[in-house]
Amino acid sequence: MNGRRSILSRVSSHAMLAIGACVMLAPLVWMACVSLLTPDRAQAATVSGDLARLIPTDPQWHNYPDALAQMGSRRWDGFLDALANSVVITSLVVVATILSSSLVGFAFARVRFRGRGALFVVMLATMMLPGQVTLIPLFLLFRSLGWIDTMLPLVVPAFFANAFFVFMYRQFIAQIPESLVEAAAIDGHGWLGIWWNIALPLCRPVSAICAVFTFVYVWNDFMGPLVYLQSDEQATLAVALNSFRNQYGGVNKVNLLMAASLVTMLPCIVLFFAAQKQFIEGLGRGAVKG
Amino acid sequence: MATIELDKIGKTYVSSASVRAVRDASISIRDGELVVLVGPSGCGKSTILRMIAGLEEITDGTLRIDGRVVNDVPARDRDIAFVFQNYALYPHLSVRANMSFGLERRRVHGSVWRSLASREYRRHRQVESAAIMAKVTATAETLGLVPYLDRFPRELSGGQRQRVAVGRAIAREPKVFLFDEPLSNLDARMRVEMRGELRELHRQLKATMVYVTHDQEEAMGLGDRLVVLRDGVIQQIGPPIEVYAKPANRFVASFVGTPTINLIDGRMHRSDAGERFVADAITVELPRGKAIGANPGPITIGVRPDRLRVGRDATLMRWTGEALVGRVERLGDRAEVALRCGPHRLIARVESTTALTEGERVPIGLDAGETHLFAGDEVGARVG
Repeated sequence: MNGRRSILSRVSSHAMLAIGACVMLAPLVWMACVSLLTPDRAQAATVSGDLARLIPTDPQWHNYPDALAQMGSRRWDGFLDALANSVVITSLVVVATILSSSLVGFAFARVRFRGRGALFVVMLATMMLPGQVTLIPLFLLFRSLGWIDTMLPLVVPAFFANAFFVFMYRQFIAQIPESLVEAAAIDGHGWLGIWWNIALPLCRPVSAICAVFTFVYVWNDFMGPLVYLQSDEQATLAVALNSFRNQYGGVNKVNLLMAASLVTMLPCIVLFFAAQKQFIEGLGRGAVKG
Repeated sequence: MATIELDKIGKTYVSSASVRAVRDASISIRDGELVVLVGPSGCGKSTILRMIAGLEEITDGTLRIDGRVVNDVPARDRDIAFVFQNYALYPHLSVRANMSFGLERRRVHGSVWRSLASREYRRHRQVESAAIMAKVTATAETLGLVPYLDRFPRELSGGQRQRVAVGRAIAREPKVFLFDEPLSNLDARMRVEMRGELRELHRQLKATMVYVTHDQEEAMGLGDRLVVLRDGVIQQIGPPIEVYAKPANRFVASFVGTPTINLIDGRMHRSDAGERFVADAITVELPRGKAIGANPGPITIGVRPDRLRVGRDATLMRWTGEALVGRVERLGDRAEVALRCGPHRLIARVESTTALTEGERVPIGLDAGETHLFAGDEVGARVG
């Protein structure tokens, strides 16, 4: 009786998961199929919703290089510039976020100073502020600094720590035995040396989570680059993709649009498969231990 | 090496209720001496050690290392090495890197950027690196750690980790070594082995060492001098044999020595005939001058278990009585016997071959000259 119930519950839960997976994967599959169709078949599949015409019986692989070559105002350079900008901005922000958040988290965890508790609460409170609220004042600030149409507004704030990751680092570093910190102090290190030589290396799991989540966020970030980067040469992949949609959009070149979108998404998909453990751990740390 | 001087050192933890962890601690530690701070948990011994190290702020008093006042000097500038109870090895570094960590920090040519820019600087740096590695290897050879240099702390046993912690301290060649109960996480056999090694190390290095332990046997075996603490106050300072043979008060007498000293409360009567200790079932004539520091009235007599004779030996003593044998623990070459003499519960240490049966009545005896007398008040200072 129990065995039957167990098989039944396993089958039903697997069925639910399969249905859920199909629902989540359907848009990706649709994009991949449309990206390999001819323009007229792609248009038909988009407008009429005819799923039979969705299957690429004669895959148009040239759609991919065609789409990338047409991104931006200069042939191929548009895509390459956008790719380079995305890579540079994402890399800088990931490194800056890890370094700054771990440093601030270390200070909150280890350095005793007056007002530490209150300051920590204030920092946590900043997580409640939506980005949209601070968008205009920040824009005005960066404009007064002359940073508009540069990547500085996207990169420099990362050097001032992210509240969520500071919290994660603080919780993790608080678990490092005090004797390790004291041993490093006796061995001749000040606070910065202890952070760099002891805390940061031991925080590899948290740094991995921080890197993965920051990468995905920054790579896919559209709002920030749209607001601060105005020229084609400065655009990131997300902005270039949007420009491509506006330029060729409609349903005329939806096959090329899907091809370009998939290429843009590819690094995040690869990263997810490579760092699944960090993704899940990161979600757990944020939700459970708090 | 260095001298250490604590002059009325105190530590108060300020919170909702101020706690005085250490009060008026004054100790002079000579160059090359091994001093052991011993006492029960919470007596302030680790707090004193941490204040010497600079890991705790000193609330009152003055601390000098080699004549220099170091109250406000950070730990990294005191030239001390600290061996922690839990070893505090850096888990992400190999044994070699752990041992060279402090030396790397103290390089003269420490800038990686400058070494990229200047060949001369790079050469000096390479010479320094070679010297550091040579020192680490020599230290590892002394402690039998050469086969483990490329391992990580998680791959070592407790004893090996402790050796690495000691090696890390030795490699630094500091003025002072501080040990905070380094053997308490080891099993009994390993503890005895490491104790011998530490003694040998002290003999070789002739270093100034301050050692903290709650184990009085370890303290007696290691130290040139003991500092016995209770509730943040120093009870006695002296060589182990002196602390054992002439404990300053009731607490020191009962803390030092295994098994614990027998303490019997009674009264001291003084007359022209002499002094006499009187308790229930026990009356002992004291040798002339024994209780010279005591006033007639409440007094406590202390008898070490090995000084309390049982059986035939007892009849040879100046004072004899009778006791009921309780539990007998045979521990190899000796036995510990629980006795009941009137209302007094006593412990005697005898030869393992002594024939004793639980429940039998046996003669017991002691020589009053081998006893210790303590005042009958709360402090229980030694009076004879």
